[in-house]
Amino acid sequence: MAANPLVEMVNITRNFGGVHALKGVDLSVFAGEVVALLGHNGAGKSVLAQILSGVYPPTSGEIKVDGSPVHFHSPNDARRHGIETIYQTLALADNLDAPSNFFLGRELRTSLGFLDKRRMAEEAAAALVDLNPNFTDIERPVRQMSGGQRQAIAIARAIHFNVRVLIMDEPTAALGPHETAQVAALIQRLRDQGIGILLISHDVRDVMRLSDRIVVLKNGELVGEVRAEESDEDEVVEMIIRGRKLAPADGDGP
Amino acid sequence: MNALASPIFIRLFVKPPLVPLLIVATFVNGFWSVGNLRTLAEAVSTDGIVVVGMTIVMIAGGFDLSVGAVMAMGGVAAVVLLPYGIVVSAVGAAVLGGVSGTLSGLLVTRLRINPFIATLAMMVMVRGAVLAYTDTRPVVSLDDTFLALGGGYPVPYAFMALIAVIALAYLLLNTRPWGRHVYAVGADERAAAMSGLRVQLLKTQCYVISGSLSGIAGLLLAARLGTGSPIIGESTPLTAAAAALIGGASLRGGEGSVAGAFVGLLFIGCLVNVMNILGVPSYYQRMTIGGLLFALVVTDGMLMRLRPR
Repeated sequence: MAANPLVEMVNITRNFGGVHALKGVDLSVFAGEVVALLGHNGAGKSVLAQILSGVYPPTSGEIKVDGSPVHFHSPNDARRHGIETIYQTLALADNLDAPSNFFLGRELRTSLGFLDKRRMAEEAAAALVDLNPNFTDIERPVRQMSGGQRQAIAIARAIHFNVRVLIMDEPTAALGPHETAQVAALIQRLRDQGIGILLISHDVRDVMRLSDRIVVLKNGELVGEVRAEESDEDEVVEMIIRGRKLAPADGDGP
Repeated sequence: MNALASPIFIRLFVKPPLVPLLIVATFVNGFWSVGNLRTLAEAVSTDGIVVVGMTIVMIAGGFDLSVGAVMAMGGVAAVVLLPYGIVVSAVGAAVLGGVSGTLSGLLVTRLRINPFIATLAMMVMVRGAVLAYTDTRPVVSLDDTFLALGGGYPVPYAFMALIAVIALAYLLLNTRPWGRHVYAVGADERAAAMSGLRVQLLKTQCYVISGSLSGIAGLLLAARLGTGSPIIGESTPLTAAAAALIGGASLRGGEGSVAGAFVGLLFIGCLVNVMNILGVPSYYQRMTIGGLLFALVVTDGMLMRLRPR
């Protein structure tokens, strides 16, 4: 098992105007590890995730990928380091079809720089069918598609391009039981491939089942960190509600 | 697919009813004569170049009220720069328009001013600057090359330029990644940013294109009239927006096409042309176009509510 984390966030703070959304948070994700980020709304988990996605720069603090410091100015910078995100809102352009969304911002081009629409359609179709065998008719605006299909597009494009760290922001919040089970299976599969996963959720039961390590935030601060197998729902819920500080878990990773 | 529901059918027969209008126009004396068609082509070509820019800005979720003023600036600049040669004149008109578009784009993206307000301010500033520079008097050119540019028989050169601009814009929007990005930004700016698109740069580029095309349109109009007039183009923003809206663009962004806008413009052009032949006074013509625009904005809003998400 790798001794160094894939990504490491050190003493991250983030202010929005006078609001201190994050007050110095450390977080690391190792290869083949599912780290869950838990906390109430407003605890800072989405902001922390979006800093790692490159949406916001941190006010202070450091992000390291493979041990070297990096600076993300846009989601493209994070993507270039293999950090991909499935946003809770999915971040799809509703007026574009599935292949266009799949490749948005990194379109396949012909040698003259034109869109290679045929190859984009083929690759997107293959990736989407891989996730959802019933997913056909992909070349229509995604606003006409079902919630599950839209989710499949967001997932497929996040894992298609050499992902190393996958951030999933409330991946099951809008899904039914069947689709939730599919997402759970996908998380296992990606972990087995050695991908580090940062799972943001407020569903404690899901998190206990899916994750290896649980990190709890409250009011922009790290409350504590436990290994899922050594903890239980009650302890985690208490951490979320009371903000009880625990001794940080051993930082050596899995 | 049902032929009556196909986009091309709707685009030509229903929204707008261009083909029915052309059939009706057959009964209007002289509509289909070469002379009249050339007049029609002249009338739509300069506005058409502006419409292409307006459509691109609207697809990106913006609006450009400054196009008419920038057109006047382009025409005046073209005439003033003619002593340095036709190339300098043309480049000057386009670059000045592009500079104005850059300012609009920065107002919208950096200062986050609503596009209507930002480009209204640009419209007033540019118009003021042009009026001040010319002392409100038209600048006249007798340069043969320049005046020849305003001619072309039977097809006006300006119309050929319009076709070229439409073709280029079509390629840009439909076959280049840039076009996809513009549509994505117009549909959902936040999603586009999360997908790593440079939203502010893309939007600014759209305003630059609109400004440059308006400048070029101003040059072509000045070439046709032999004059760079500081007061032309006052109704251009509305005509351009109407054409783009008829052609499928939306005030909410993310929708529209240059081909659709061209059909929209042809429809308005034919309507005005027919009204001219029939001797309808220009005030009533304006009321007609205004009513059309109003009806469009209303139906645009109603369709939004009816549309399945």
